[in-house]
Amino acid sequence: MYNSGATAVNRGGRHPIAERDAPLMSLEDKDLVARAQHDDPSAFEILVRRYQEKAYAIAYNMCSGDREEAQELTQEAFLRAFRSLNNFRGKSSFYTWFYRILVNTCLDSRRRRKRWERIFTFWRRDRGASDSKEMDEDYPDPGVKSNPMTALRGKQLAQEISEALETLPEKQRVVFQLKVLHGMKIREIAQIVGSAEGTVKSHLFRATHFLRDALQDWVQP
Amino acid sequence: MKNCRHWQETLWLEVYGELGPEEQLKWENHLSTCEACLQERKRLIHLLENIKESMPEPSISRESARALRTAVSEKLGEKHHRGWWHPFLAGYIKPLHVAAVCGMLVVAFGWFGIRGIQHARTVKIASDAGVEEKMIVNNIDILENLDLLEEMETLEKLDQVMGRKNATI
Repeated sequence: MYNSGATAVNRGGRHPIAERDAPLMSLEDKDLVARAQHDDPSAFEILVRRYQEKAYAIAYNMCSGDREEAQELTQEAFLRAFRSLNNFRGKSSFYTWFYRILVNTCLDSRRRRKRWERIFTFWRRDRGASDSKEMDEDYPDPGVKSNPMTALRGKQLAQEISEALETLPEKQRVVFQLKVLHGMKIREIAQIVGSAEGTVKSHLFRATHFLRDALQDWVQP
Repeated sequence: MKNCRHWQETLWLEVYGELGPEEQLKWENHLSTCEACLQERKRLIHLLENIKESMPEPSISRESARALRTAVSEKLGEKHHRGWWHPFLAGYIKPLHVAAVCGMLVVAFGWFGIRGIQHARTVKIASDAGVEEKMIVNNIDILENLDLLEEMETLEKLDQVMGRKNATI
């Protein structure tokens, strides 16, 4: 929508952006948020550009590797965030505030799905096996560059990890994913999940302990 | 590691890159003397590397990214421009919904409407009764002494009759 007209290339050289938006690319989040609070469409777009990649990755992992659902949830999270942008007081950074909305959006969707699954248990029982197969096939292939044995091993490990993660309690799973798969700091995770740092550490350690036991075969170097 | 339970939290923090500089120094000193902790550290790092490798961070395609930005922009734009009629024309409210709401209104009016009218009537009667009660309260002295008043009236009449008779005599 805002990409019409001449384009320029941003500092990273990755995304062609509208020429009129180019000066805004160097702005910090708080300045962009201030502009967005005054309904500046360019500010909205730059914020989306800045965080869509990471947001999509988080949503993708949280909804067990469903690309379409991840995209929908990312979009919903952006809309929720922008519609309540006037409530953002700047006490935390924009991205932790936004990721909090994203994580809550994903958890809401996951809970909704689980509710429906409980309702249609019989129907799901028949589909269960094929679903998990679809999910594994949808995950990016971890061993594309390596030999077939490594690829097979990688797929098997991915499946076991997915199953182990699914059995973790919600908070432990979210904390573990944000830490290990997305490399966030415990302080940031605490802000995102709305818990104390000590609680986050506790969740992380419990999850690590559980996965270490569940994935015994993959622990030995 | 079995003998170093109190180092476990430090080990995990170090593996996750969350250890402070002072603790890091102490931990390194301990590692240089403890083979069990060293092995446990290797195992944990190996496991986490395996997990990261088997679940690589997915990247959104350029087309999907553009579609996402467009969708967000359009939906935000819609919010600013749409009026009160938007739900009707945008198709959120379908004829079926309108028919369902109308049906519910008819049922609700049919059930509560008559009772509502009856209720209004009883209210009116009650309010009239209230006025009468107020009048009774105001004139209670008169009503209580009604017999006395009637007697006084009879006496007055008798007095008048007697007065006329005396005048004629």
